Amino acid sequence: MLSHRQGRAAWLLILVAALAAALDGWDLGSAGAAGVKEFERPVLTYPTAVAVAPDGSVWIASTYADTLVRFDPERERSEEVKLPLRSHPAGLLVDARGAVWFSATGLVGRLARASARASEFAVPSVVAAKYSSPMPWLLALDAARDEVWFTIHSHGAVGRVSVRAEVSRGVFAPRELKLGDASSRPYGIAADGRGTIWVAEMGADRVTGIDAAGGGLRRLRLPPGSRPRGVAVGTDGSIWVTLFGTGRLLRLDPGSLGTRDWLLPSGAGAGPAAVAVDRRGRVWVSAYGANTIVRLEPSTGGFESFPLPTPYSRVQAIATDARGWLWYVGSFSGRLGVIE
Amino acid sequence: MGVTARGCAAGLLVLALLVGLSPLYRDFFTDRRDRYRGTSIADFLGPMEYDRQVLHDFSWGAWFWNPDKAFGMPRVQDLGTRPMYPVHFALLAFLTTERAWHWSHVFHVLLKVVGLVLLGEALEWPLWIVVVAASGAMLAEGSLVHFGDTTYLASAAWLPLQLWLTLKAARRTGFGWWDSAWSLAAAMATLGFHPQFGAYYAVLILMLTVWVERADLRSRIPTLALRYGLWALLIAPLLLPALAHYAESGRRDIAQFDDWHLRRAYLWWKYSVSWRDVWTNIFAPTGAWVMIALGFLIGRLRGTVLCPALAIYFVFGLFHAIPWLALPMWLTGVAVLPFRIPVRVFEPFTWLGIYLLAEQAAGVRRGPRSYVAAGLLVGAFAFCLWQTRYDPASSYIFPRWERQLPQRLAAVVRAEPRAPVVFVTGPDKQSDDEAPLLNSHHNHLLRLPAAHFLGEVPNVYFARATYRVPGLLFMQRVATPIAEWDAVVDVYAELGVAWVVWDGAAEPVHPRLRFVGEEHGFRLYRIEGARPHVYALDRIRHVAPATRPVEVPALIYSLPALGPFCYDCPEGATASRLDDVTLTTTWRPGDVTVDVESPNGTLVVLGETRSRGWHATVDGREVQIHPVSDVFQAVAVPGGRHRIEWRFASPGFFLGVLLTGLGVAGLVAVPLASVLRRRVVA
Repeated sequence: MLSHRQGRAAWLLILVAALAAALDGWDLGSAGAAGVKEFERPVLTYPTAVAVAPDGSVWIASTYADTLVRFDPERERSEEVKLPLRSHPAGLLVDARGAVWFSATGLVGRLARASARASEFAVPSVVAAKYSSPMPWLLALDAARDEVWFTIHSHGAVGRVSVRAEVSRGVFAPRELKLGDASSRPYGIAADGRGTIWVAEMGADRVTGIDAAGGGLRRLRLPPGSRPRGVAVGTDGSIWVTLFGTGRLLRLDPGSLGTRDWLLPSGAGAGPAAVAVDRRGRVWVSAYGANTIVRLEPSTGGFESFPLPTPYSRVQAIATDARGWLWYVGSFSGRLGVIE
Repeated sequence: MGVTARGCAAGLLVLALLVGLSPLYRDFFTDRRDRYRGTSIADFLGPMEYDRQVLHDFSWGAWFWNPDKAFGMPRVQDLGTRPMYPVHFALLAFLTTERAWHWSHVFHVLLKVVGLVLLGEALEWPLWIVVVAASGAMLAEGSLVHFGDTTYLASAAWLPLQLWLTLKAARRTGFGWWDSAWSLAAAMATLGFHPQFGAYYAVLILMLTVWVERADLRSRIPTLALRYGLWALLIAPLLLPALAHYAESGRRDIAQFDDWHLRRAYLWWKYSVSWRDVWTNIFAPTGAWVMIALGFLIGRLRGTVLCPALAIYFVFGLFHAIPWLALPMWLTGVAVLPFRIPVRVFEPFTWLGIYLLAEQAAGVRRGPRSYVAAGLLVGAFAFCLWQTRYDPASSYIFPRWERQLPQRLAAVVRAEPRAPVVFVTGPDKQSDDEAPLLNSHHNHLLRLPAAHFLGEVPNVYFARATYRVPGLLFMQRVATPIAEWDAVVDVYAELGVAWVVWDGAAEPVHPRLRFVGEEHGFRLYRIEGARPHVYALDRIRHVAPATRPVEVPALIYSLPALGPFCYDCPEGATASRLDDVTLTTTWRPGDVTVDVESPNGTLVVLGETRSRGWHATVDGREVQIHPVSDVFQAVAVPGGRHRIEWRFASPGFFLGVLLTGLGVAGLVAVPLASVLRRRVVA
């Protein structure tokens, strides 16, 4: 039992906390587990991508609203950039110059800093597409070559485009490289900074390394049903891959292609989707099926779980910022969240 | 030779020419090819199969409500079907659906031939001109385009007959049998037509009527008004429900869809017509039009009937198709004919154009000019024949499909409690012209309820709830990449979709999908945990009513995480725990009975599209239907045992049937009275 004084102190603490939260604008109703916060604004329509800009702002692809949203964490205000109808932006990336790159139906786009109008770079396979436009999906920045790479999940291909590309009539700025047929479903992509682009081919159960200079492929076949999905590069150069089908997180040595994997705390049904590595080398994974975000400390192999406050959030995109915070968007909660 | 014998001879000669000279018509009549460009068997055979089921297993609910499309929709709201077309029903009563579909095409082709021959006969053209003109019209690109859509063919088939009746009924005294026949033909045409064509045809007929009646128009106005009045009475069972349901069709509300590509296509004043479109829609085949233009140079306009009427109509077409000429409508924002693709106004010229030349040729019967005119007419015919043989528009009639439908998988679904299916086809698949794409009306052939919509603009609630959910709203047959649909399986489940039939490369990876089986390349997946067809709720989100469609998708996408939402559900309606609620459902199309037992009252949801025409009672007393998740409908029941009954009936139908009875009586009584009066006077 609390003493009278302890009781008063507890009430005081609660009151102060509530006041602080109200002043700070956090939505108490949506606050779930400790350290996890979700914002009621902006309202998003099936967001599938999130990226943090060098200035600290958070960019979100509100996919089925055909909108890019810039969220200012300091002021908790957002502004929207409307894309053409049926763009369905699916992937996002902010380059070192602050330009926002997005993938959309049949193209990748670049929104220059402080610009409201995007440059659009159609992918070459759009010419041959008869019944449906090719779908560029997730993006990766190859800083060494100043190129943006992207997967084209509908066509079993990847593409690349220079960050300095200019829109030119009759000329396709992006180039494509076929990895397999449509059933290979290339999904996550990451550049390791040493000349290799790593791609998770979800339908083919393999991880492919592409030599950015020569175009050669190195392939790691995974057990059937692994469904590799997200890819990220660790601070030590290792490659992290989520295995959506088996609930595991895979660490890949880019030199030897040796692997080690961990089962996520929520088991085989965890559905690990997006993966990101923070500055301290900790690996963050969104467990799509378990409605949690987990963090792996590679040195100890220990996991920490962060249950999400909204059920069935279906987080498909996460991003870390300079402070080590983890930003995420719930596709079905329609909300932006952060783990501080 | 008598007029009847001449007409029969002309008709037979036209058919002989078509079969003998055109490989397209030959294959069509011999039934060697039976797929038409844009007229996928799925587009019309599927709905016909539903009509056949209604006919053979009749219930009023099924008559008014098609539960197997778009979570259910009023039948008259679906422009792709002809729910009250007598030709349809006559064929479906005796034939299998596929045979009925084929013979429906044959019937309408023959009807068009008959109408064209009669029109030429009524204009008193020589036999050879009637034959050449009618054959040319049938061979012209414009007629082949009618194969592109069953409803185009049905619409166009009646036009020559109506033009003929307009001439036959002209300048007579009082309301006679020809007027009755005119009203009857107009009603038949309307019950089978495609509104976008039928409305223009109606304008054309009106202009011909005004032209041929102009000498005594004032005294003829009562008769003409009676013609149109009887026409309206005859189609009242379609017209009244159609007007009622139009009030909540996506077509009417298309302007609300600010960000929907179809808004531009359907609001013609937002639609810019390119001259290329106009050219393509007027001047095809080009060679024939050169002949027609030359015919005007040497021919004689005086005494012609079709030429001036079509000229007036052409001016109307210019007014309607070219924005700057439609300035008054731009300023007022009110469209006289708010139809898609205004260049369709010129469509009659693409196949009836040769009749203008025939009229010129028939007008100059002597001298060298008659030979030149005859030569031009034959030349125009030859151009039509030439383009038909080579079918320049990449052919309109295709070989049969060989691919089998997944009947065994459908049986698996039918064996389970009723739940909608989504058919999705990957971009790797070939065109629907070559093999069936299942994202279409095949569900009717498989006797499965479909969650999706294919066709023209659907019910507005369905449209705004699904227009941004992949796989659910197909304005045309389109492919759906796998990554788009298997990412939204949770939304499907919340909408009650329990099955996916996938026809494409790659395997879906969503954790709620369970592979059931594969047949003929189609794979069936079950969605685990999908909401049942009728269910109770123990929590509901109260949200402000969506004022614009664009607000709805965000709510729909939040269904898996935040649950169903409601605009006006009573507070406390979800007071009972789900474990304590029992529901017993008896389902028939448009007729659903649910026995509910709950301790503190509950909200019972019917997973079918809300619409005017649904009425619900609790223990026999009418109750309010609340929209749930924008597209579905719910009824609040108090604690205890209660019976909910949902019934659907299209407003105005039975009144319309009464009016049709009046119309039929009028068709007989008015001319009879006219005849008797004349006898008495005589």
